[in-house]
Amino acid sequence: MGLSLARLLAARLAQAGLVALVVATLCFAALQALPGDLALRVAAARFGEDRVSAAMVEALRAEAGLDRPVLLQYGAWLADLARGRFGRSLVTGQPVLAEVAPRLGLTLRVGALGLLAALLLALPAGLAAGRRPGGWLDRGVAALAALLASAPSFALGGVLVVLLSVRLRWLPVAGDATPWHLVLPVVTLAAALAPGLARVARHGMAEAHGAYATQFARMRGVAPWRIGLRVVARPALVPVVAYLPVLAMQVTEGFIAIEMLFNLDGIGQLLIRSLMARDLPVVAALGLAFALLLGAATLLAELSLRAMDPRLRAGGATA
Amino acid sequence: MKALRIEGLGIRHDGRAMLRDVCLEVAEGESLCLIGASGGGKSLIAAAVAGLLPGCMEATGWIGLGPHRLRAADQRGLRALWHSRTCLLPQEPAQALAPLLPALSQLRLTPPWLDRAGALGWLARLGLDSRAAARLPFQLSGGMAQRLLAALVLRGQAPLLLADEPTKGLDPARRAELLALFATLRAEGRALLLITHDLAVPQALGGQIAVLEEGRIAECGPAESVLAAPRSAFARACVAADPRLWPARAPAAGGEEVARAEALAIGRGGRALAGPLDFSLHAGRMTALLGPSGIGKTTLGDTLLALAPPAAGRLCWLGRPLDTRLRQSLRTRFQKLHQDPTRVFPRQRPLGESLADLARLRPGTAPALPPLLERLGISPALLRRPPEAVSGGEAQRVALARLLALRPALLVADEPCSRLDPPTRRAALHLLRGLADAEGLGVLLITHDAAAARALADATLCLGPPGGGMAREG
Repeated sequence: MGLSLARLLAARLAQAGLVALVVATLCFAALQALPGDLALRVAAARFGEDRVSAAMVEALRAEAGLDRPVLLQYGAWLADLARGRFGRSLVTGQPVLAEVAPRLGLTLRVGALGLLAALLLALPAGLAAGRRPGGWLDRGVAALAALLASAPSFALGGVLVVLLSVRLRWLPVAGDATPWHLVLPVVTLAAALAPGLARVARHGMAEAHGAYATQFARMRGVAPWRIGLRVVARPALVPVVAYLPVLAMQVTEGFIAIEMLFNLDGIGQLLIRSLMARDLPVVAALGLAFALLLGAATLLAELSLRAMDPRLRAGGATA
Repeated sequence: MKALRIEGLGIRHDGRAMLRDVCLEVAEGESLCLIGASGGGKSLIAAAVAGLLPGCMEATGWIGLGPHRLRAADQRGLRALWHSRTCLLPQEPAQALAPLLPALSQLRLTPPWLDRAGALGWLARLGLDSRAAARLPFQLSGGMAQRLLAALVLRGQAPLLLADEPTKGLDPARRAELLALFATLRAEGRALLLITHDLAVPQALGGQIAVLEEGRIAECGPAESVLAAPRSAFARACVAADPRLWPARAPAAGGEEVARAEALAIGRGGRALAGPLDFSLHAGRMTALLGPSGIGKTTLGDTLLALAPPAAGRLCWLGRPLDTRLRQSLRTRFQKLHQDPTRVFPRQRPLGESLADLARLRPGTAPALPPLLERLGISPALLRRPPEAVSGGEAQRVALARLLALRPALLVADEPCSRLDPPTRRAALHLLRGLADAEGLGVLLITHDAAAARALADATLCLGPPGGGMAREG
């Protein structure tokens, strides 16, 4: 039984709400459960490790309401979230949205460019490799993908910095002052995304190109370019679209390391800083942002798949 | 001019000769049916002509296609003659049609260029209206997909059409449709090479017939005379295996009831297929389930085995109403023999290892296996091979051994013989019958072969379209 579009959207929205609640709760619980005094850590981040006194810690504890029972804090905080109030950063005192929004822009720009570069790099390579499974191109792409996949982002990024920025002085080392600054982060991110994408595209292509339908079209004398466009392309790209949410997840994982490495002031760095400082409102807002972005990517992929392959709309597997 | 002339074709694999000195000819406007044992290499002939021989096979001899004459080893050259000289008809429409392209677009893809109205006209000739033309393959019924395929082939120019087991799994009505289509193609001057183990094909089409036996052409001649007075051993065995000649038998008395359907309705994907049905299956009895393709025979079998949920009504196993608890405790005693036995075993794994897994599923089955294997005629050497290296008949017996080791009460055999040649089919069906008699096994045989059902089954259920006669027992 196929889901109607309206029911699908309603179901996904309900899921997103549930995920948001779970993520918010986990953030709260994780920060509470970490060993050490929360107020002390926040105070240390706000005033500096050396200058913190017991009085300052107690003042902060009272100010932020950290002396209330944990369940009460959780309830009050959820109630605020439900009304769309993210509160202020415990460390800087700035509204959370003002902390997150500008940095989110930078991160999304790097993420989107990295995804685009990975698509431009891996899609043609994977599709070309899949036309002749076992051929030299297929083996070459597989070897390159395995090599890239086994090099962690921070190592590869480090090598690129040493080579292109320090030695050759072609590109800036760190920061985000000019578009040139984004080249290395984008390349490093794309290198992390490309191997999986190339493998998925290769398998989709190998399956569609090797399918009997393709051979039968050739036997009927259909021109090769028409076969590629009308018979092979869509089935070959279905797994690629289905893989996009996985890529989105890799992007969120990838930019944390990349922003640290290239000193980009995006939400990856903000997340690490806020976690160190136990800055609960910021951590929770970032967690929600990640969850909603991933949810949106999944929904987008799902809607695209339904448009591409009506068999999925009809309820999937047919005998 | 001959559309196809095979001269001295030989095929070797691993140093072993699969085919030796095969010579065949088909003129335009003629048909040749090639019959032979399952796994005997007859499909290799079609593959060699179409240029689709696997790389591990060495071919010798010559293949003539109209004015062209090529070495059989020149498979690339033979592929270059696709469309202009040869076209291989697909076995399964489901696999041959582009999955995400509407019927009309599939037809218009085939050159020469055709406008929309012209394409609709082509489809209308084959009984596909404009609604069907807009559908994707998975939205077409099996018969409609077959007709679309026919339209695609008709649009092509190839003088020689090759078909490998074209009637496999078709019900009698659709088989007749397909044979009528072949007759039309032949009348339009196409040459047909049909590889089949279904004697109904040469019986209906006439034309020439060739019998492949141990890698050689044992006999070749007009279909009527070969079928009337076969000289080769295989042709004689095929003719003798005609279920219409099997001796009639008295119905078995039957033991306890193994499954009962009470006002049972079946459905798939929310669509009602048939029902309400009332019948019961008994130990030691074989019940045949007949009905046209797509009517829900497989779904009914799956529902009886609790592999698919019933749409309505009640189901009893061994006299007790079926619930989750009962299903779990009796799961291994309600088993299914699948249509394609080579696909129920993990690939590339020796069959013996898959059988050994049974001991883990149900301790105590291991000692029962050796006598069972001996009774089914399965040699230990066979068990060292993976499923892709055994014939359909052999895989069928190993699959059966695996099911019987679990001491089933009910066995649903879903067209167990549609891929076997007539002598092997007769042996397999009589084996099932013997098991029902000797072991008190309840058997539901899903089949298109009404003659075999009449000869072997104690009862017959006919599944008809909803609203019509649902199921009648006779």
